[in-house]
Amino acid sequence: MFDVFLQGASAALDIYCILLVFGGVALGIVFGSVPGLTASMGLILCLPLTFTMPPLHGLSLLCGLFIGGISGGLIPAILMNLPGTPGSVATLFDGYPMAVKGEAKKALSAAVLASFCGTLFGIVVLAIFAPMLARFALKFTPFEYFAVSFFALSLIASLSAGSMIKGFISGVIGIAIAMVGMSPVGGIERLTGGHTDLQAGFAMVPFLVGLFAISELLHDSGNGPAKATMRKLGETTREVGLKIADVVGNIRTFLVAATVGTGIGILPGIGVSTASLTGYLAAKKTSRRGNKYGTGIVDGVVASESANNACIGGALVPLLALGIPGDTVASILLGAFIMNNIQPGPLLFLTQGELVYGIFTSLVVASIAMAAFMFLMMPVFVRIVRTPKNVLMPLVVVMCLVGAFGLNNRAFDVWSMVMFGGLGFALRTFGFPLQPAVLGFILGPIVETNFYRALTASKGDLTEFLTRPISGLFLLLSLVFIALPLISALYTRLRPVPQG
Amino acid sequence: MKFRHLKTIAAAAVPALGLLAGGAAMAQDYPSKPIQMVIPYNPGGDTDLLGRIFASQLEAALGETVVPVNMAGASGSIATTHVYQAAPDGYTMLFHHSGVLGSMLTGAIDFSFDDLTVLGSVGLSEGSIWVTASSSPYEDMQDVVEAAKASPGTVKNGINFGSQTHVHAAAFEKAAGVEMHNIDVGGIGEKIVSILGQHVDVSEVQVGAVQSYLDSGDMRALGTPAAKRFDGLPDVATFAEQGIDVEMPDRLFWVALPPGAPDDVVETLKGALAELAGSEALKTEYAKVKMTPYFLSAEETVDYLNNEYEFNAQYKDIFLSNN
Amino acid sequence: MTRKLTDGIAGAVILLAAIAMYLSLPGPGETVIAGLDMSLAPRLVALILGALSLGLLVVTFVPFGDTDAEGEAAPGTPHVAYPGRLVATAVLIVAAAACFQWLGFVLTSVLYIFAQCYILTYEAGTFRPLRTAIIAIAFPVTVNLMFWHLLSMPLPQGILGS
Repeated sequence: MFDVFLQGASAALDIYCILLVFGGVALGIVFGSVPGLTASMGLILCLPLTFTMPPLHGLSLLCGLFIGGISGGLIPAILMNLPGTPGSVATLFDGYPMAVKGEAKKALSAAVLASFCGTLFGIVVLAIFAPMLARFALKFTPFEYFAVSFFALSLIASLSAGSMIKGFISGVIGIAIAMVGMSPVGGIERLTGGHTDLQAGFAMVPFLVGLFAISELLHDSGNGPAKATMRKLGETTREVGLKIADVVGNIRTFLVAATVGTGIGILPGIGVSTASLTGYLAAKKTSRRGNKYGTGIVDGVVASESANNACIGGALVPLLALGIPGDTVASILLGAFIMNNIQPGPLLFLTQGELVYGIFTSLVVASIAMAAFMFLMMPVFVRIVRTPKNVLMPLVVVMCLVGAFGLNNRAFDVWSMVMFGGLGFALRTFGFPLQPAVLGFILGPIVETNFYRALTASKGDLTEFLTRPISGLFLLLSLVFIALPLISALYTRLRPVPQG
Repeated sequence: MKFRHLKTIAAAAVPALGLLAGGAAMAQDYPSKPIQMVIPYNPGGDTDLLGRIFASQLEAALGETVVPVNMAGASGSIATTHVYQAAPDGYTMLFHHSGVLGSMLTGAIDFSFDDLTVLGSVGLSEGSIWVTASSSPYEDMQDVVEAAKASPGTVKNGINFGSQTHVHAAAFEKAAGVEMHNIDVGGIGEKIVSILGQHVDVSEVQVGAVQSYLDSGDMRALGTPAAKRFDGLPDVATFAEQGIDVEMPDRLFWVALPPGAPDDVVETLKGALAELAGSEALKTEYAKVKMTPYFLSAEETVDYLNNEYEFNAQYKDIFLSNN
Repeated sequence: MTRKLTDGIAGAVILLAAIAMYLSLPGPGETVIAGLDMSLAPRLVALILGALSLGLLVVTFVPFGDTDAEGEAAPGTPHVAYPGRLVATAVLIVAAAACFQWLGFVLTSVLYIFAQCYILTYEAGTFRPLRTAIIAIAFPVTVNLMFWHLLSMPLPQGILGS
């Protein structure tokens, strides 16, 4: 066992391999950070290159891309309120408010550090527990998937700053938008009005980019020179860095979010955007400073970025141990394995131990490379926000158009992005929070799919949701989390007004 | 991210604008610009991998760039409709498989694959087997049939509602005269989970996807609905050999142009396909994704798909038409 | 506009949207597969949305308890300082989406960037047409070449192509 590990590690520490990983990470950061390019585009681009390399080299390159791509998303998220990748969506919630406050550099440093530690956390879990966790993931039937995702959805209330009812409405709007298209089971058309384009529903990237970036553009153009904010950003960023107290004070935040992120990653088919959101919510719920989340505190950035990076290690668990890809990026990785004539699955750890440990080593190298690049490039990132916003914004929008189009090569996605920009602008103008809509859009389909799948298994019997222990527990918790804020809101409202 | 250097980039890039307005393509010198090959699924899946391999082979045969373009959604209907409506100039091509028949049966597309200019087939999937977890009591399909007959509606079959496996589940029930408990589990990844986790008793899967589980002893093959036994799995009997009188068509991969493509373009591409049919390089590349070359002419492809459509249409009441 | 009015408008619009959503869905029992109604979940969502919007209308217009307690924490009433620029940006971006395939990526982007830069220049006399034009041309061309040649991802060529 140990000598297999050593062989794998030494193969991965070959200088050529390390260079490939560094290259992959750098390219991944570019693909993750430039709006309009996605991590999966980067992987597809490099996939043919890997066929000519030894398996370890090719896979190391792709793993570097994977880590760089997930991490790169934090840059536009913090600096421009723009989800560079869907996985960094929760980074916006606190990252951008921090940048507006003039703490861009602090937010970036915290995010990079959290990404680095989160990635390592995920890799350690992967390296030690992969086969065991894979067996555990097998216990999860649609009943459990439904209950867990429903529980996460029930945390909508806690994302609703201000009016609770507006938060719920925003969340339900997100769910409704995600329901357009074919039903997840059986392929019944819903809310399409017979349009072919709507059959596939709305993709996540146009939705998120429209909701945040395009609505930000509309907001800015309607509300005058946002230059004041931007100038402040440029001037103060040099002073405010990350303090030791911020790091120490967020160890717990990190552990909670990274655990949740890894856990979500292990469950195939849920995805990195859910990991980032749920990690954020879990950290918020368990933190004493929970009520400050969303106002621009370091904790929120740490939570989101540690969760989405920890998800990488988690996502590799079912990929390596079961041969099951959890999302698009993982399925491209699976493709790379297969093309190299290696079938991930139960035998991989036995027959290809050296390769597996080589990949683990490369993942560690990649996370170091990621942190190094990010810290080196940070002054450049911060300079970007000093570009006059009237020049920067149009270019960003053009990249958003390209990104929406490039997703599926359909003009429809461009249209939907513009439309969601209008929706986001209307929501924020009328005082509806945007975060619940994101939660609803991402989790709604997972909840619904597994609800129907579970019912095909129980022949329509609803009680099985409650009689299964994990599922019953989470549904009970969801009930508490929905009911508590409602009750306390009602209590506040109906309480007799103090006289005087 | 290098917005600061825009001026430098500008200086280098402005002359390149001229490249964009490159001359209009004439039909006789087809192909004179990159061809887009639309793949109706997400990157990374088995269709995508095969599509990309085929694209690179076609590129070599034609001497012009072939760009694979993913257009996922609605089980391939979006991409099929896109190509159906595209200009028939030979620069938009569809790479699809038998999944198009499902789109026709559900009414997701309101035209037939035959309305496209079908060029021919390029591959046949290696075929499917029905598997169970190794701890299950079933040794072969006859055990499944007996158990289902003993208590109808209890043996769980993990399928993907509205897809080919749904049709095959119905075909099996009819041929064996049994009633199964069909459960929607989703795609191939979820099927593997539900078999290994024993959420279901049996499931139909592609051989390649579960080969390592058969090797490791986590799964047991019960039988194959294909016409003959697989070379790699000589012990796995066909359904017919096990007394279940049904033979399920394998998934055929084919390519097509939009309706009304010009004859010379069609001939050029058919020529390229004919050339690829005998190509050793293509065979080697296909082997990486466990696929055998299978080149039928346009007419044979249409016949094959029509036969498969007839087979599926017998069970079309399992689909709920959108119309 | 007061907060009451805007909340009233929002509630009413969402209520109408929920009703429209419910009506556009198949009725109960029309889309049953394997004993399960596949349009049950969306109908439920439409009902919840309707109920919530009614709730919003009720808390807005029915004064019970201390309504201001929550009103304080909520963001301010809608305010747009430059409605003209907002409308111009909205029109511009819709136009860009509409022309994306017809004009092609490069031409659309050149026109869009130039016009959008102009709209976003608030201080009179600071708009620099030459610099803007250079950026507006160089950026899309670079992106286009990069997508074609490095990523082999074709962007729409529109009337410049073929």
